[in-house]
Amino acid sequence: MKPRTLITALVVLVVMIGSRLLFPIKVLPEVSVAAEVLGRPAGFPFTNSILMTIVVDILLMLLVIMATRKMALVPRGAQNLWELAVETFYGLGESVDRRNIRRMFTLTATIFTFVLFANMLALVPGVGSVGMCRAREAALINPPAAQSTNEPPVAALTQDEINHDVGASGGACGTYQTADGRTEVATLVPFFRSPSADLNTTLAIALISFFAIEYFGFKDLGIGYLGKFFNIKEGPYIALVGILELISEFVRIMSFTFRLFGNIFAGEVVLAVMAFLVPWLLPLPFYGLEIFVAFMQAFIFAILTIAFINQATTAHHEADAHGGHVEASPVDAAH
Amino acid sequence: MTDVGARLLATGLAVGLGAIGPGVGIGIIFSGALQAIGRNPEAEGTLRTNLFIGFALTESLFIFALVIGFLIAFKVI
Amino acid sequence: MDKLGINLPLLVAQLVNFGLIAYLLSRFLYRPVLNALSNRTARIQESMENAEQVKQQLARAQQDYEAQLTKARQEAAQIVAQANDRAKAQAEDVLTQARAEAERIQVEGRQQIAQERDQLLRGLQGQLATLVTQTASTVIGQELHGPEHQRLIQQSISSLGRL
Repeated sequence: MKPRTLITALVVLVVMIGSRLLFPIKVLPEVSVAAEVLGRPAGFPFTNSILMTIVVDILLMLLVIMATRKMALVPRGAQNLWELAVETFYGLGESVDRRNIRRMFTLTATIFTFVLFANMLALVPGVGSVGMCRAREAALINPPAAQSTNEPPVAALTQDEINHDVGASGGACGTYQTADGRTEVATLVPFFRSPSADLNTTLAIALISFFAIEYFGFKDLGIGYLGKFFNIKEGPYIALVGILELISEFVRIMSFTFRLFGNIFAGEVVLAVMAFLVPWLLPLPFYGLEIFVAFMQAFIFAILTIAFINQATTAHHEADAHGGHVEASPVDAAH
Repeated sequence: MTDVGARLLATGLAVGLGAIGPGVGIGIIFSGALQAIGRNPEAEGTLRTNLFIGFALTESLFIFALVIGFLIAFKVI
Repeated sequence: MDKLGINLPLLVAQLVNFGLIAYLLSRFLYRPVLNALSNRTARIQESMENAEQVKQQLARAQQDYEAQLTKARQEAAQIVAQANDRAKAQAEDVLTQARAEAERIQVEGRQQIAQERDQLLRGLQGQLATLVTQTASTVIGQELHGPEHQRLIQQSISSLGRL
């Protein structure tokens, strides 16, 4: 090994160990599967992921409108970038499904763009780590009836107090006394949470994708679309396969939902844990991985929707004539 | 065994065991794709799209295991 | 469901949000960009066709120009040839005229000379005859008269005619 490589490795190791000793993160950030509630205007649980969704929407629309407000024949700057993105995605969709890409372009491109922006913006430092201290119950979407009105007195704790409290309560925000004298643990509620790390968002997009697939299927094949699932003419084996396909059709919702949620949520947890283990340098490669995953999941969500619509709008005999679908085998394998 | 201990064990098992199958599967997918590209480099464009679809579908199995692991670890179920 | 955070109002909010963002993106991104792309394609095609047309026109113009140039050259050559011919003809005319004139002058000159000589000769004959008769009469010593006289004159004239 060259001495230079050796020295670099040594320096990295020293920095990592030093950061662990000198600047330790003493509290593993509280991980919550559900999004936390920031406030309840008119009874609507306004969660941090909703806030982030609004931020993503505004940012996306600002970027888009600024780029396409004055469409020039010879594109420059941002317009060029957007045109490239739209054209590339269109070409990609065409390579999967030339027939239907035109009518489903808005749907799939929106899935891609929105999910991509949501995933990417979730990686901005501060998202998921800057927040306010609230009572645990107050942060729940459906709070227990009795304590729902109990807003905690959010105490401004010093670092020492937090560190002191960590052992006792396990939280960054320390403890507080409720009105009836119990000691409760306060929880850090981040202001922003990636929309993709909230099951409501992913389920919503999955449902839209699912209904779009079924809609296009019925529109193109009419009532014959049901023949894919209820096929009793060709014997019991084919009938069973049809039923399985029907089930897999609904499992898609779950698979869409949890694929996106799981990837992004797991990514956030991994980043938090890595920062907890070694504050410096170790999270870096994982950050790169997460950026890749953020792009990949948006891409996958959109491309799978295109592929499934292609599958749904293709009649059975047609598919056989083509020697089956390229997408058919992996799709069936996953379900 | 305490409740916390059982949950940690279950989480570890769920994630670890859940990673085996998809790990093998992703390996097979990429090896097949690389061989195919090696034999027919012109088909790389379409192959890559299908490669990532297959990769995502296989990976989603591991993601399910991971989600189950989280659900156990964070006392959701 | 509760612990997973799935909640109907939130789900509906996300559905509405997705619909909204899809509409806005389609309105402000996809439609303008796809239109711009197809416009640009059409425009480029048009420009290329135009360029082709212009090229053809240019080629035609070039051909015209060359044809005209050749024609002009031919005409010029023709004109020059005509001018040459005319000049040659004129020169010939002038030459023939000059020759004719010279001939005429020559002929006239000759005639004049001949006339003058004739006159001279006639004068000389007369004078000679008188001289001869005078001389003869002197020599003879008598005047010659009558028929003798006339015969002598005739005789000298005819001898002179032999001169």
